[in-house]
Amino acid sequence: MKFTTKMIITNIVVILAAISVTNCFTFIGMQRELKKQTAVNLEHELSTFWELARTKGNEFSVVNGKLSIGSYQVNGNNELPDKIRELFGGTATIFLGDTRIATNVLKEDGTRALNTRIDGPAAEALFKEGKPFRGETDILGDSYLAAYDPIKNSKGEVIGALYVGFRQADLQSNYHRLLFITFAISALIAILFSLLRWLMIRKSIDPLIMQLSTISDKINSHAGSIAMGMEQQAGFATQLSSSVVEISSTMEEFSSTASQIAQHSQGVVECADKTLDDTKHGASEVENLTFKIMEISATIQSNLDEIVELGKKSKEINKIMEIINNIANQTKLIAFNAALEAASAGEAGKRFGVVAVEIRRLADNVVESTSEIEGKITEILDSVNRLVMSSEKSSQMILEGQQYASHTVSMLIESVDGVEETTSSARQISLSTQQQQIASGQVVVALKEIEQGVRYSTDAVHKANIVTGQLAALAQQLKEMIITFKQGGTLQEQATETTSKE
Amino acid sequence: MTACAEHDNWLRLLLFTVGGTLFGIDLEQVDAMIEFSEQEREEVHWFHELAGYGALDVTYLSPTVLVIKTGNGSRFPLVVDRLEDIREYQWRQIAPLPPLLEPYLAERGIWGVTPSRDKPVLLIDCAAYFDSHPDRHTHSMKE
Repeated sequence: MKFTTKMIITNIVVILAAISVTNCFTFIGMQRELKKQTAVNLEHELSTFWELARTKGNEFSVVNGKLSIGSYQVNGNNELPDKIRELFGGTATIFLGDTRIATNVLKEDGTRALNTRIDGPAAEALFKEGKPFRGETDILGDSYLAAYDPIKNSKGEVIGALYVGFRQADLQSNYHRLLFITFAISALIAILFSLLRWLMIRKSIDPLIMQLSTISDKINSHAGSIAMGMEQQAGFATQLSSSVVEISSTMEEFSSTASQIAQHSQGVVECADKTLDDTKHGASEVENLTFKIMEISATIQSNLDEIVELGKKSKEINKIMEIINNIANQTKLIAFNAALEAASAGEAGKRFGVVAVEIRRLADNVVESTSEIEGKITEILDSVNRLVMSSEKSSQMILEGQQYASHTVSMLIESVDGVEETTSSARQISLSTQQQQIASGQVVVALKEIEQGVRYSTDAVHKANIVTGQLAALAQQLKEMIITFKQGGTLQEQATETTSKE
Repeated sequence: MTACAEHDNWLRLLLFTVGGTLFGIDLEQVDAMIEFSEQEREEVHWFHELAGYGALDVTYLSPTVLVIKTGNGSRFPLVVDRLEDIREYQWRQIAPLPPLLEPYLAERGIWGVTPSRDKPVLLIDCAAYFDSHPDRHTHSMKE
């Protein structure tokens, strides 16, 4: 069933219920008023009945078993009840005792209910208690609203009663007709109003529902897109979080390494300072060494000159020894010649020969000695030569050492500049590394904040995803409601109907 | 036997060294001993050429010129190395050359051998050599 139909029906039911309740209260009030009015009318009718009766006579009496008002015979005389019916339209009866003697009350067969008797509470009140009776009573099987007054004779004895009343069925039939008409008009008004309402709803709500349906579809579609985007964003955020964690870990390692580098750089700075001091000290020492080497070189050169001079002297000695040796050889030769001459002289030359031999031996000794001296001098000269060569080599080496030392000094001086630059660079590196360490720490802190932010973002994305899911569900529910509103029945019922049709 | 003095049992020998070998010459054949001068290099006889050293390179540490007098009164300057001694030997101390070497050594004037302390002394007859080879010796000395 369509929602509008349901709403119309509900509207009708509500309006009808409202009208019914209102009418019920109205009719209850009306019924009370009717009863009240009926009671007043009955009193007025009964009063009129009394007045009509007194117009006939002042005294009621029973003569010969018949009731008379004055001289007016009541039994079988329905004039007064008919007059009451003419005046008020109700029923009226005159009782003699408890028997109806004049009445306009009809029996089922349409004849007057004469000679019928009264019973029930009215008879009790009238004839036992001598009091009037007001209220409902049963007359010939019908319910009546009745008013009874006792008729008393001059002695005050109850001899009969006057009755006026209305059959409740007659009263109720009017009431019920009015009730029916009222309800019918109310229902008609409610239906008309509901139809008008339905038309207004159709006219005003249908476009709204269409728009709502479109919006719902769009919301559903957008919710799906948002959910997909959120999924992608969640995946990206997860990857970003993982990457940030990795970068954070790497930056922590980098920071640790930077810290170590900073420490090492500080060590390098200290080493560079020490190297600078050592280099300066070394340059100074090498400079001193150069001076010492120059002194040694001068000394060695002096020694070398002395040695060369000694070699010259030795050579001169050698020349002298050569001269001596020549002299000795000549002496020896002379001695040999002398010996030769002595041998030629025979016995006379024997003594001379002995002298010649001795001279030759002396010459030999001299030659041997000079040979030994020559050998020694040669050894000395060799030693001198070796010493000279060694000294020259040493001098050359010292010269080279001096050159190396000078070169080393210049290099050390250059090194001092280099080491100063190195020290400055090392300080700069240390400073830069410390700054880098601080920067790395800040980067790590920033990355942690980013990681926290990404985590928050991921949580927010998850929450947004959940909200998007809820939004999609709400959109779906809205769609179902719109379908229900448009076509009636739930989506499931529609699906069931579609399946059953298939 | 050479022309050396044989008039008694004693033989006086002038000992000299050439190329490390000890030689002995009869003192009678030596007229004089004079100092070698480089200017006279072309005018003297060299002992190693006489003794047949051939192509062997002989070094003279103390070259001395012996003036050899021959039987015909000629004199030849002969360069020997260092003079060692003048020593007297008995004839019985002189041994002949081995027969195997004798023809070869006799050609060069070497005629015997005698011990001197720990080394053998080859005895050479220079005068006979110069006499027997007059064509080879152009460097004679005037009286």
